[in-house]
Amino acid sequence: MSEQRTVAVLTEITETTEQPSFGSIHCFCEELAQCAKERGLFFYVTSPSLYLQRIGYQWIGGEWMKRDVPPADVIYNRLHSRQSEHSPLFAELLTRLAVEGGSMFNHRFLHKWEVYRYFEQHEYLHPYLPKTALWSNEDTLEAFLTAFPSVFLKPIHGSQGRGIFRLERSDGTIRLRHSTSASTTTYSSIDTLVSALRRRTKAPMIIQQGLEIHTIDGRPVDFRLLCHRVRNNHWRVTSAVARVAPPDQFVANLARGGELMAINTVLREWYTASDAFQQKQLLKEIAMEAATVLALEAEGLYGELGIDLAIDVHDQPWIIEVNTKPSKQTDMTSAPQTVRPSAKAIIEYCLTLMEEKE
Amino acid sequence: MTYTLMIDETGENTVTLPASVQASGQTAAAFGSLLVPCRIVSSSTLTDCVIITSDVARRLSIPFAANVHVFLTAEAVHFGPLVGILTAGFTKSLHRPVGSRSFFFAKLLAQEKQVGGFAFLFGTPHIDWENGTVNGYFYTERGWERHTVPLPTVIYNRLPNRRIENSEMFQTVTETLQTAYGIPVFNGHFFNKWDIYRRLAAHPEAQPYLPATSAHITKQTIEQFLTRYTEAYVKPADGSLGRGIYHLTKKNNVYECRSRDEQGETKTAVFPTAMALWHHLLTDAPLHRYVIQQAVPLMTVNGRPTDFRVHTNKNEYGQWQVSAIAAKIAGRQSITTHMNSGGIVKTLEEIFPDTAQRNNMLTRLKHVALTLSRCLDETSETLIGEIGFDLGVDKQGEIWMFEANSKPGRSIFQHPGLKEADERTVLLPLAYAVHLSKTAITEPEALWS
Repeated sequence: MSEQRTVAVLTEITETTEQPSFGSIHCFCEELAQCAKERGLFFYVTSPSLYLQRIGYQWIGGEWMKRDVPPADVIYNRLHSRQSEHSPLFAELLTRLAVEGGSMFNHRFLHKWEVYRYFEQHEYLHPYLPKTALWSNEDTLEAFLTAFPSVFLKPIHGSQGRGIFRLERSDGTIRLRHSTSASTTTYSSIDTLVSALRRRTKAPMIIQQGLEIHTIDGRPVDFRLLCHRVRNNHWRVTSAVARVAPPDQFVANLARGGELMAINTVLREWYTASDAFQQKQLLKEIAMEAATVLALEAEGLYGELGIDLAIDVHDQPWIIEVNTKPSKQTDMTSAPQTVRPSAKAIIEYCLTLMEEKE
Repeated sequence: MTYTLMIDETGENTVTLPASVQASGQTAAAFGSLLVPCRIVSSSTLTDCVIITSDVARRLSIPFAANVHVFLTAEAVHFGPLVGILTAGFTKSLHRPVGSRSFFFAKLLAQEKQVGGFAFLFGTPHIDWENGTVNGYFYTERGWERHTVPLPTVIYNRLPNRRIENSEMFQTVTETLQTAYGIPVFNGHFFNKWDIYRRLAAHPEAQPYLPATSAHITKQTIEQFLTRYTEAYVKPADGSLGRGIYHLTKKNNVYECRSRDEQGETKTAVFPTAMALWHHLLTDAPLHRYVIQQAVPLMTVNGRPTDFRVHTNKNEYGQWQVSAIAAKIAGRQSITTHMNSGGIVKTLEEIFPDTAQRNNMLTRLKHVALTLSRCLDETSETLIGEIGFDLGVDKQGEIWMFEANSKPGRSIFQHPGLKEADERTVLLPLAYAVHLSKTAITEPEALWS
């Protein structure tokens, strides 16, 4: 058996007669394979059930080939469905990995409420945290609607801007907007609003202080900072982009039709060159602090985090949410054929993990 | 204990204290350098709060309600402490007042609530000498805010580098604040390796932990060090982060010199004589500002040389305590264990899985760090509140001290196993500041003796 160091990507695989599909990270896996090869690593893509059978897909001569593979030293967990992470197969995989002395990052999907609770323990982050509570009853909603002109309700397990409600008080009524259906309804009382909400959503939700965020042409803007872990638990911002919400939408996620813009372009719309520089640095520093805190507080290893930030009209930055399976669409380099910086960062982190174990 | 300071908008010219504070005959309230006459009243119904009427709070420039300590002198009731953290390199941005160091200070200031009192960040341009006030940066739940407050009770020096600290302007300002205003400044200066060595070498308790060191780098001392110890380091007396360090060895009458270039690459040069090596060093570095030090063959972890970072702090009683211990494992091919040359931080739990062995090592490292802290403190003319030691353990198990830093770096604290140590080392300087404030207010003669 070879002594070659081995890295595996764990994800959902759709197997057809021709080539397998790794879903939204298919191309990214090719880039990872290329970086891994350059660093002399044995690399394959696998799923929980394939991994337990010691089978993986190797990138050989421009194709994914199904092969018998050795156990991985490091697994990069890109399972996109939470069900897969709760399956007995996944539990078995973790046990096997522990026995064989391998490590895995990211440990698991972190939902919005646990992320908030981790941040909340670190007082110095409070100025950047919108007030957040678990939506338990009418009282919480009423308290938030009294304290803030607008309020968000977000499914704790939601992603890509799906299923978010925005509530806004105006002239004694409450306006309710929905991110997925793009509908607007007006309610005259909290009670009617709550019963409507209860009908429309069964999932656990968080309730969050609404922010008057900076816009471009009236379209809200947020920022996605992709962070990677490097040696000694330090974090680095690998890419930073702005996302502009589509007209008539209040979330800027790409899946909801958001549009990517260069962060500098956006900041220069709002600020002088020196203020834009300060704000950009601040966004990066907040993202790195947020990543550091999560990696410290959450159980298991985290090596890649997508941090969503926004800036309000008073120029105060806010931490909106954190994605433990960040999309790779925000990390496009100008030249489409080259390897994305995040692919390099992932492979470097795998090497660091192996080195730290030696 | 701390009290909740409450501001009363209705009454005037009055401070009401719990009877348990035992105020008697005081006729004024004080905050930092400011003292205003007012009525002092005791109330048997109050237990853990003090009430200040808004006019007194305004005259004292108390920036907001908070938890405070109460110190009594014969004339006045002092609220505080008001701790000023002195630094430099301010930007024009209130969101990021000291650039990339802003979060470091935000973390420090956010600990203030746990300790009680007020802490703020300031630079020399923010002092208004005529009015005896400072327009400082406070870190609140809303982020950075500026408030004008009296001159602080104590000053915690966090100047970023030696160059600024040694500038005439800073020397004058800190000197004036100490002598003319009686404000103690702690962590007054960066340590100089040669100065530290001389002070500790004169101390019989500390002397056994010191590797042989000399500030006179000549071909004779090089020859002498390499003959006696086979290996030696040549390093800047005022350096940090492992920059500009040379590792010298003598093997089979060949002299080897290893160093890192600006790109971080290790380079090796070989010489036939100590004279040739000395000439090489002379052209490469300002040797009059360097020291030569005996290299100690370090214990290894997985074949890599390992040393230890041990932090000590003075606590709320003004006594030294060990606040953090971590191991630093050298990177492959590295000449030092510094993290920027590929070193890795580990906890003692990670490198000594055996409890008995670990506890033995912990006890010995702590003992040495505390001994050295006390010795340094005794011989220092300035107030020291924290020290970061680089300690090594040789293959025989003997402990050696390589470096002592008055402003130790914090990068080791990203390790998840050092989370509590991280919080402790941030909190303790503020706890010590409370102790120092109390001393400065209630028994100033103890400080300046």
